[in-house]
Amino acid sequence: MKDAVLEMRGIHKRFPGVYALNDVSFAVSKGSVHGVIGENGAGKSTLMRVLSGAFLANEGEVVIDGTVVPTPTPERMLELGIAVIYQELAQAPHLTVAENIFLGRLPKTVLGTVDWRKTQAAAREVLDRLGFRVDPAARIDAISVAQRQMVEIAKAIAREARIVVLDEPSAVLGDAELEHLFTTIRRLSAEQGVSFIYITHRLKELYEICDEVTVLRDGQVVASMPLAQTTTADLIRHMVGRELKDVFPPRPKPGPDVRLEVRSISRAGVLRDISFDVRQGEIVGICGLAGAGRTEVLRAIAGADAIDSGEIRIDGKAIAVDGPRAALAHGIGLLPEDRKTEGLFLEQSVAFNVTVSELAAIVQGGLISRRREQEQVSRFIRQMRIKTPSASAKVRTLSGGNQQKCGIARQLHAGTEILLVDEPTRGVDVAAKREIYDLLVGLTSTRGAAIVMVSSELPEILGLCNRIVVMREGAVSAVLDGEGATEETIMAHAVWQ
Amino acid sequence: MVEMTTRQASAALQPGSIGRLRGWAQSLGLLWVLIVLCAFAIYLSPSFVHMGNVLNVGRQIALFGIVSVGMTFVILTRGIDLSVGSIVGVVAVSTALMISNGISIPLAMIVALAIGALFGAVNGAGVVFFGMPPFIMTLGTLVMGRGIAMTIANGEPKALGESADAFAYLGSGFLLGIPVPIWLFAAIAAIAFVVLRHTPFGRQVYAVGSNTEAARLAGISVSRTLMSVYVISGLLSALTALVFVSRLTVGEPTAGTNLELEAISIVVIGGTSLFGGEGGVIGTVIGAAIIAVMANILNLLGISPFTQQIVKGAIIIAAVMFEVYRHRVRS
Repeated sequence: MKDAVLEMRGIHKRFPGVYALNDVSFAVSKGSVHGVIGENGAGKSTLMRVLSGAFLANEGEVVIDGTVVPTPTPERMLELGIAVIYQELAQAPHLTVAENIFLGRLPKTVLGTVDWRKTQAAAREVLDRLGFRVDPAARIDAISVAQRQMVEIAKAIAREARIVVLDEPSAVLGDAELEHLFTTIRRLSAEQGVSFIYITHRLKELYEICDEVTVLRDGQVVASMPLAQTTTADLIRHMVGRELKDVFPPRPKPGPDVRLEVRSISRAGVLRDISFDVRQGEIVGICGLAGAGRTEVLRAIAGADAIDSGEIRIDGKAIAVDGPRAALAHGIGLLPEDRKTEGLFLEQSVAFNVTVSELAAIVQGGLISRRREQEQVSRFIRQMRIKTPSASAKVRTLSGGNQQKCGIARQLHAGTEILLVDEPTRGVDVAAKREIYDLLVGLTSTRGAAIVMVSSELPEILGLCNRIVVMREGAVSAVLDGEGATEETIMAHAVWQ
Repeated sequence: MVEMTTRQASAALQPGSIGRLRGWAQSLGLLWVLIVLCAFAIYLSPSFVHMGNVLNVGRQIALFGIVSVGMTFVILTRGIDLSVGSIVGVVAVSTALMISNGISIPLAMIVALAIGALFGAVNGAGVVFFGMPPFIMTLGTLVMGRGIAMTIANGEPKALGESADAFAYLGSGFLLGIPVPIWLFAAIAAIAFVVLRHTPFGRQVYAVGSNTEAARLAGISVSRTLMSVYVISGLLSALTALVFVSRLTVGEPTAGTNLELEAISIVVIGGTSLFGGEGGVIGTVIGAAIIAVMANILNLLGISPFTQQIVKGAIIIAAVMFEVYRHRVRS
């Protein structure tokens, strides 16, 4: 490829038992935005770790500006201008923005101490140049996730990075923040010739920001081309290796009975006077901008956070929810937003994770019956098609989608009838998303489950929910009918006019 | 890929369990270390296998092992109990005082265990209700406990007096030719194994240690679980004190000094993760044996107690380094 700033040629990477990358080649031209897509486990992260020097490839070469890099160590790749911004940012939370930007190479005074004034000034200069409104003196733990992402980009630019890799930024950013990031990317690529590699699951973003795209599947490149020459349907087919007829299953058909009533719940500074109902067999979506209080509503209903006032009723009866235990006892279960830190026990087995909320079900004569456990868990693995070598495999080793299924399986095992799901498809690949949608809709018909779903992906709210609660600054701003709603009507209620 | 995954899915239904195999492999690895150490000891001095020496090593395993089982519970919840040695001191002198003052032996034992449990409850309350880091909370009770022991005993060893013989069975007695403390340890290790592996409480201990927030959201009573592990640790420390007093026929206020270090080393060498949620009693039993055999070897080699400390310290560092390395490789 002409004026390719980066080429990866014939990269092979093998781990014990896994052929992670098989003859992967692609090129990124100067000043372009190159999308890399693929399902979880397709090899995207491994490829980027080879590029950053974190992994050494078994075969193949990395070529920068037409020259083969002989020893691609992390230090060498940084020198060559490659910056990888991971999804889970590696920042020092107690240090300031300026310190993070110049971490490891802070300007020194003649005495050899850190020149704080110069650090601040230089940081401000970089941030201003990028148009980021972030205070260089603020501590990292005091700024938003979006701003942290900006700090990482500023850090890369301050190092004069020429190739910046962004690993699924939309997983942590809201829509407005993402738009800002896109503006920055466009400007840096157009004005300074910085090239970007943009890893994502979301095809929509690809069309918004990328010039070229490379699709990975099972460690191989299945397509690499300018984005203009392809369609969404093509890309999905390339990613999953088959056609995905419909993205969403048919909407649930709720019954007439109201199962869950949320009445005027409030929590100082977070939630104001929230009320809504969920009927049997219904999926109610909650959406709004980041920080609107979506997650907090679910946590309040599930007893994870205490509320100051208001009432929660099940089947017309007010219940006291003074903790997750109490909520579970009433059949209310929460699938938390962050499955790794709040949901799962990653080092424990699938069986452990599925049964942990209802151990009584596997106890026989005071002791846990392995046989019972095996029977019950195997049934969930089979019915929900959880891809795992066995019930005793550690949950850490499963893919995102299968981990999420384990979380849902736990709720079902505990007999949850009112299921609160928070970003159920975050970090989950396209095919597994569909499976999770099917599962949720299936629960409404087979179990008559009442489901409340929080999601920042509007298409999934629009595609699945019977009704949509829109939130704005801790309060309900509208309740819309799922059939007639559009992204525009939702957004109109989500932001101040 | 599609074929492979269906194969995986069907494999899920078979009982063969990779996770458990890996756990066994880890214990087996430790067992090999122990076997090699024993072989080395026999090579050094055939007297290693003489009955007297074996029973001595066994007694030592038992004494350190009982406390270490309690420590295993605490460390599995990602906590630590530094106060075990001081609990032994307090209980040792209290027991000696009670018995020498004519309180009946069964009653004295019950009170002794209650004192241990109370200490554990104080530790647990600090951690649960006041959010104290376990390290600091139990460091506080470590210092306080020793002070209490010294105060009660006025800084002097307290003899059991006339009842010493009646109380000797626990520490010096034999059952079927095997010292009673070894039986005691075996019973406690067996019970702890069953509790951790086969009861809901055991599952909850692992859950809290793996991910406290997830455990809370999963409906587990985190505070009750944490409270329980500290009480268990206190109880087993008290039991150790009873064996000590019974064997030595005196309650020394300095009894159990540095015992917390022994116990933590044993648990860590036994493969229980300081990061919580991983490990178990089998490892601890083998860990106790490794430490005891190692000490015996150093004695057989005629290495001075001072040098022995250097070696022991190095082993602890090596064990923790291995653990940290394993964690880093994973993430």
